[in-house]
Amino acid sequence: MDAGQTNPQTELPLTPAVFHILLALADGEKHGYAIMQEVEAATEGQMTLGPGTLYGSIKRMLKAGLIAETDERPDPALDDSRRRYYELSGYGRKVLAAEVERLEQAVRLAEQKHVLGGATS
Amino acid sequence: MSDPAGIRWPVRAYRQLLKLFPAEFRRTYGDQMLIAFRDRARDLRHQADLIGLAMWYSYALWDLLKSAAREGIETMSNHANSLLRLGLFGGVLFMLALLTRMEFLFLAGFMQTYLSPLTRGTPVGWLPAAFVLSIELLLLVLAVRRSRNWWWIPTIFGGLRVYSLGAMLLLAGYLGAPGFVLESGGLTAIMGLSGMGLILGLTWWAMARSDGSRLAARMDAGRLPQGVD
Repeated sequence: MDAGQTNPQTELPLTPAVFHILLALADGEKHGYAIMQEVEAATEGQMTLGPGTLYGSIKRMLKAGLIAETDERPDPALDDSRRRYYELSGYGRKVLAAEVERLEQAVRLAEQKHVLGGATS
Repeated sequence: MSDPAGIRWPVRAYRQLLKLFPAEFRRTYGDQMLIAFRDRARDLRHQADLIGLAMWYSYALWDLLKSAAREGIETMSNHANSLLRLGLFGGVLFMLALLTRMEFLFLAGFMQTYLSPLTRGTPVGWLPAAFVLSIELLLLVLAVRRSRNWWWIPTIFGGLRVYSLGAMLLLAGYLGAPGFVLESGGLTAIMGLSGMGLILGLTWWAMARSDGSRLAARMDAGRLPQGVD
């Protein structure tokens, strides 16, 4: 375990790609293309992850201990057996929660300053 | 499942372009990237979204080039100590080549125009030049054999020597080699030979210190920078 894994705050702020990958894995393990699809759907097409960005991020997230590769594989008849599946680690979940709290604080601050809605008006 | 040509050829091209990534990254994630690229293309093709397919190809190409550059830079920065040593080593060799004028010696010997101050009129320059360059070649071969995954160190080292040789040949042609060689002949022979000890020591040191497993262990121990991607 990295020394930084004791404190999720040391990982913040997350980049949009890492944040959305963590969010995509929050409800269960997924393979790379499923993560790409989920991110695109969740952001309503505003964010598209290319394979290079996705796996570059995955590499760094694995090393930081935010996610882990799962050993379980679906039935080869149902899926490409070469696919690798990833899941959120306990530390990754804490980091994600910390980032969401940080963003919440930012949104509250924006509300106090009455800047929300300005982008669409 | 066989893909139509509109997917098959881009997938092949993408597979080739994956070679732009550092070898370790490609070994670990290359197949996964290819699967993701292919699956996306298949989905768009299945939806008959040809414009989306074309946009996907162009976006994936941009993403691949950008990511390959990033991974390459990251890999290089992880090996910064090694690169620093390599740069220092290459710089020393280049300066040594300048100081000893070994290329002049070689050129003069090859053309039989080298005139030693002691043996005026005798083409003796060929032998010390051949000796110096033979030892250097031997060091290169030994370095390549020793270095395994670090073959690029002696390759760049050899490239620098070729570069310095070319530069010296041009300069020799510009200045007129025979007169210049005559003036510097004695100094060339002495410094060229004595410099070999330095080159030998530096080569051994650089190769011994650039052990891949030790660098990998140092990389693993390192903390990742924040703000990934």
